[in-house]
Amino acid sequence: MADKTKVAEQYYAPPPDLGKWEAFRIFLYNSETGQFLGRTGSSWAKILLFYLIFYAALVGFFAAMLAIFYQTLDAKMPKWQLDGSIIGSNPGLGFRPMPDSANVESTLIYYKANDKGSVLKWAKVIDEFLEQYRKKGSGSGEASGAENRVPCSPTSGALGEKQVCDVPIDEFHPCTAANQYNYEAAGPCVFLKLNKIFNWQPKPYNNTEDLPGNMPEDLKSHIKMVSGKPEANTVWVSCEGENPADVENIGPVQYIPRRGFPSYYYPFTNKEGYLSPLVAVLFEKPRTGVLINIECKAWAKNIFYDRYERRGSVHFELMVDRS
Amino acid sequence: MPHPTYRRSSTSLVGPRRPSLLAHGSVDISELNLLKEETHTGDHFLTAAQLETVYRTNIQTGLTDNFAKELLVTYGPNALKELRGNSYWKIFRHNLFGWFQCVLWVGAILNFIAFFFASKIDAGSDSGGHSDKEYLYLGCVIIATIVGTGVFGFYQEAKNMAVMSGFEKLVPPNAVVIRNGVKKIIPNINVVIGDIVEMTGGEVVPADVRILSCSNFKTDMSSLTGESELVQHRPECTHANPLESKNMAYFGCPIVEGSAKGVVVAIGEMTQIGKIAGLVTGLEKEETPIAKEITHFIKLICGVAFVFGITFFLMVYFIQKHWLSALQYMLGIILANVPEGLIVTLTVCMTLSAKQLKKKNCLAKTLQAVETLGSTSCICSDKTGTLTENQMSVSHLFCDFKIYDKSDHSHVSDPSYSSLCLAASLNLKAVFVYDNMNLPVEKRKILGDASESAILRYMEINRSATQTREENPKEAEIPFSSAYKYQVTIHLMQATQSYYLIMKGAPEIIIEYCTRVHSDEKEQPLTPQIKKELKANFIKLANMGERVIGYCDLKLPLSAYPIGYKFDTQQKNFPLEDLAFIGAISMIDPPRQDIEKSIALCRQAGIKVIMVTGDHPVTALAISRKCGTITQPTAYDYAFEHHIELADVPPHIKSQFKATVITGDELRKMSVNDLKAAQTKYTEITFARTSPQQKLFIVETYQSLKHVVAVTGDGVNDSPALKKADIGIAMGINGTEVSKQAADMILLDDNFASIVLGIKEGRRIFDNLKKTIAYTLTSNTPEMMPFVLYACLGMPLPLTLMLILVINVGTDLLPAMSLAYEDPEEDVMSIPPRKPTDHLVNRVLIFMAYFQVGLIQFFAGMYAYFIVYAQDGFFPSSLIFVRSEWESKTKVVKDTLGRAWYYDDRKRVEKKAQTAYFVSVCWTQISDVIICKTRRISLLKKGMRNHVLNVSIVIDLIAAVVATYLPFCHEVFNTEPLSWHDFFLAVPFMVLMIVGDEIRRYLIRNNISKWVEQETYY
Repeated sequence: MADKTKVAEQYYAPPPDLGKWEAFRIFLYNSETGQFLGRTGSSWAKILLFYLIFYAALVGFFAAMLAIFYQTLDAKMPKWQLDGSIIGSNPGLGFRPMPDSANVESTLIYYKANDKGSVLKWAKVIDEFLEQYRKKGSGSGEASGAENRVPCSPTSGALGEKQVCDVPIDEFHPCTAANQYNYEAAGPCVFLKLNKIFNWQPKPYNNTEDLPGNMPEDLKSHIKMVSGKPEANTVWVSCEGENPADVENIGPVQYIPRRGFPSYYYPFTNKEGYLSPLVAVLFEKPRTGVLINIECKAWAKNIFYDRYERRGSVHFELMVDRS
Repeated sequence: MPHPTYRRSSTSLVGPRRPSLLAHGSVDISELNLLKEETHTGDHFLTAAQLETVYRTNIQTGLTDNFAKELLVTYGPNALKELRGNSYWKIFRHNLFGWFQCVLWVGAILNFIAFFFASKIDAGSDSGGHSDKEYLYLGCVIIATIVGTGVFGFYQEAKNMAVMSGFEKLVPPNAVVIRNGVKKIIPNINVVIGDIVEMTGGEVVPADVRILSCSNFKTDMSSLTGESELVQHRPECTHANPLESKNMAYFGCPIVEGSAKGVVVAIGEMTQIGKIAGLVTGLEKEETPIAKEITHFIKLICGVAFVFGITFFLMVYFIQKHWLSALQYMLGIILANVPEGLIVTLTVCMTLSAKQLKKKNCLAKTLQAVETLGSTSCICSDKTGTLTENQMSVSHLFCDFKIYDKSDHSHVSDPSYSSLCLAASLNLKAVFVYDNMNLPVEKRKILGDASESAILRYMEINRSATQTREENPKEAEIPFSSAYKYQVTIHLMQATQSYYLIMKGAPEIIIEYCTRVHSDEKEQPLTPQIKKELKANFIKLANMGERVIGYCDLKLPLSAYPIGYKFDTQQKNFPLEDLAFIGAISMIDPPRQDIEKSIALCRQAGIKVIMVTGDHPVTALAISRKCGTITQPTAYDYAFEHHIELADVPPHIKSQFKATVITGDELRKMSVNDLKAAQTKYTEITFARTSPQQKLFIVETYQSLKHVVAVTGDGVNDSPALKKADIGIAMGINGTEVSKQAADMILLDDNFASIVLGIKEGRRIFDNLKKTIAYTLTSNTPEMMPFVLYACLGMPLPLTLMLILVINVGTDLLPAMSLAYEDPEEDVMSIPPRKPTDHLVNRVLIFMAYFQVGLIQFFAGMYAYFIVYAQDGFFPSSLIFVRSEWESKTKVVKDTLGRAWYYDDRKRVEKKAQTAYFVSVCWTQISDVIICKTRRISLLKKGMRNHVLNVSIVIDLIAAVVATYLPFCHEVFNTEPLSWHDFFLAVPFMVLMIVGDEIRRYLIRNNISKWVEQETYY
């Protein structure tokens, strides 16, 4: 017997013809060579180490290249500005409160005036938005740069290098947090802001010349009133109903604290603590139970109006219920 | 035996190439019977005279040229209808509905479905950044891609097929016919019914032939009957069935031995094989291994694409619950993974290679043959014609115990010298080609083998052989056969009016038939002493590398063999003993020019060159030395130096030699293991005096030692070895039809140097295909990763589907093809041949392409992407998890500076970043094609000499510029112009890639790290 096995050992035996599953099993773990997925433990360690080093080096190179590039960039200042940039030099208008993000395409502000929960919901959205405006002075949880904010007026002098103009939202009565922005009184406040464009300086309509023909009459008369005064250097704002029915339903409109964004807030140069100026639009007595389409426009010589691309204007719907 | 008539030998070497008649099964039998019925014309019953009448021919003078021309017009050429049929349609279908194409069709259909539903559900909703029109648009582009690449691939493949089928047209078989009373060589297809054909061993029967006269004529009818035993033909009818009758030879059957004359009774489609061919059209051609490998690879890639695609579909669907955007991910992954341009590129590479080879006089029957040649590790080369010129010329004459130089004509009148010349002139099968008779003797073409041609030419110049031969006609002939190694002719001598028998052959063989020796004085008895002296002279001649042919004669007494005596070469009714030795003629076949360089190149490439010849061992050794297949001393040299017999060389000295000559006799005594031991022990071996069976044995043993064996050969006897070899190489000029049929490749110029070129080309093709695939696969990573980022990190999509298509079938296509033009790496012939287990696409290649080079490209793309965003105020931190707001048309997204971006503005920034990503991939694909140029040698050494590639790089860049800056492209591909410096953002990564790969190659080349080679050398 012993002889027989000896003889048999001398001959080369071809590898047995394995089934597919068997071959796969051996690929997974080969007990003979200790190979796992076609590699032994040390082989796996080596290759993993190689890839670790390779990727580390690659990420390092990538990071180094990015770092080098960022040296050429100013973190406070975009490389492309005004007409050279994609965002352009024509600011758009934004409004708050925005409907919640679950319904992304909606621009409708709808609430029930006598429903406390409904009122609080919108007030909360505005509260959140105004959070950064509210924090001033010292203390924990402050927005950085809040100490740079100084009160400004049309007649105040030039700002310091670090100073920015404050937006005194507590003086926006009745559109204040304490008053729940007048939502309960069925005369809701909607905040407007002009989108920030780096280094953009408005060219306001500060006298009665060259006023565009489509400017609302009440705004024209307002400009006539302040013409020549320092307060006239303002990006004017107007809100109107879009359709004749809306114009009828919208009721009287108040602009708080003034009818536009004073030009002393500009240009925006990404100084620490900078706040975008706000205008609170108070719809005193909109007709209840109907949907009102409202379009607000910003007026300056270098703001061009385009409803479809939403340049220089904003559209939203308002519906106040009282039941 | 299952059937008495159709006995099949299981040991058949040739094997039935077509299924035997019986194997067709019972369904076909009735049809076949019908066919058989039709052939019962009874040609085999007819007498010669009857045949002349039936076929309006003349057995002596053949057809007239005019009548033959007329018949050719009436019945058409003697060729089988090509079995291709609708294969053009097959190629077309294959190109439009192959694996890749099916994946793409699915992609296109998914797009149309998405378009249909997107427009149905709602137009303005979140559709993942693609409006419904874009789905339609993308679907159309995908279909255009499929059709475009499909049609181009079809065109290339059809062209390829034309190159391949040109093989038959380039090496058309010829037939010897008698027309107007003269022998003529005409192409086989011009043979007509009634032609008188002459056939000799090594050819193929040109049509269905009724044999009129033959000598030792044997054909292999296995293709027709499945019977592998040779059929010995006779001129008489032996059976009522024409297929069984010995006087019929059939179209396409190889003639193994002997010669015959016959009349053509059927041509082309009307031949037996033509009829059977009509029945086997359904047989599909088998795919070649390389094609199989490519198909396998394609299936794998498609499988991976679908698995990834579906995984992403499910993942995104469960996260976003939006099946349209999930579908978009799936499409993206599939499109990125399927290299749309690869098939076209591969086909182009193959066609280019086939053309290149043809230019180098190597005609491959299949492209796979070229590839196999590239992996050859051992060449068993025939000596004659391959290593040598195959222009035998007489160099010495030997008679009266003296050796005379060929130019020494002072002994012409000596009796022994003149009888040697007479014998040499008469005992010849070779004849001058009729058409050449007016040319000078040196330039005339000769029908016959090399040594006969040399003798004929020499004798014609010096002794006017043709005249001698006409005066003393040949009455009977036993043609040369490797079995008995002699040739006998019997002539009716004009001078004596008696029969004269001449035997010619290897001198040490024919001397055994002799008892006397001619000398100038008188005939002497052949004593052992004289025999030894003679043999010493033969060896002296042979030691000079010359082939010695001995002659002996016998004057047949008129009493026993009166005029008109019927000599029967089958029965041998004449004496073949007690002959008188006349003398010998020695010829030299000089080695080809520069052959030693080619062989040195082979050695450098790790390829053994083994000479296998039927010649004398000493001759073989002399030529081996001249050619360089043997460079070290052998036992023979020792024996010569010490003037001892080879057998007396002491064993301890014998065992020191690294080179040896093994003769057929020695081989006969060796077992397989002995031969294996010898083949492993000796680095240089020459096999001499080998028979065809032994050649086969040698090849098989080398194969069992895991060698990839190439065999060169030209004779019928080589065909088993040619068949058995991994790649059989036949000679185009001197090769017999049979050897050409058995071979995989044909050397049009019979030159060994072409084999070396072929090997180089084979290695180049394999390398270049690898390079092409490595290049094409690399861009899959930067195409796929954006979707991972988009889905997992919620970043704005870095690369659109449209741009993926632009890369895959646009910018990638030309550079990939141009790699096929890449020259062989300088050291391609200095590395050992590739192992048969080394696949075209292996794990290392995949890992290199996807996880190393591909990842560098991805980083380059992301770098450009981040920088473009940063310049517009979006720093990387502001880009993560913004997808839902980003894709919403009404939402405003703030950048790092706090500026609010509207949908249209940020989409423009996104397009700009996508363009930058695309341009980066283009750039890094350029550096990829540069690093793919070479797998081993330094790029500095390799240079940028492939101008096709250089041009393709330039075109690639132009394409990137056009896609970035041309307003039309902004419209079609959704791109945005970049500032000029953003166009070059990927350059540092290009440098990184090229430098990194140069370091990798340096490590591999200088054997610094075996591990690097193992893991990164693809």
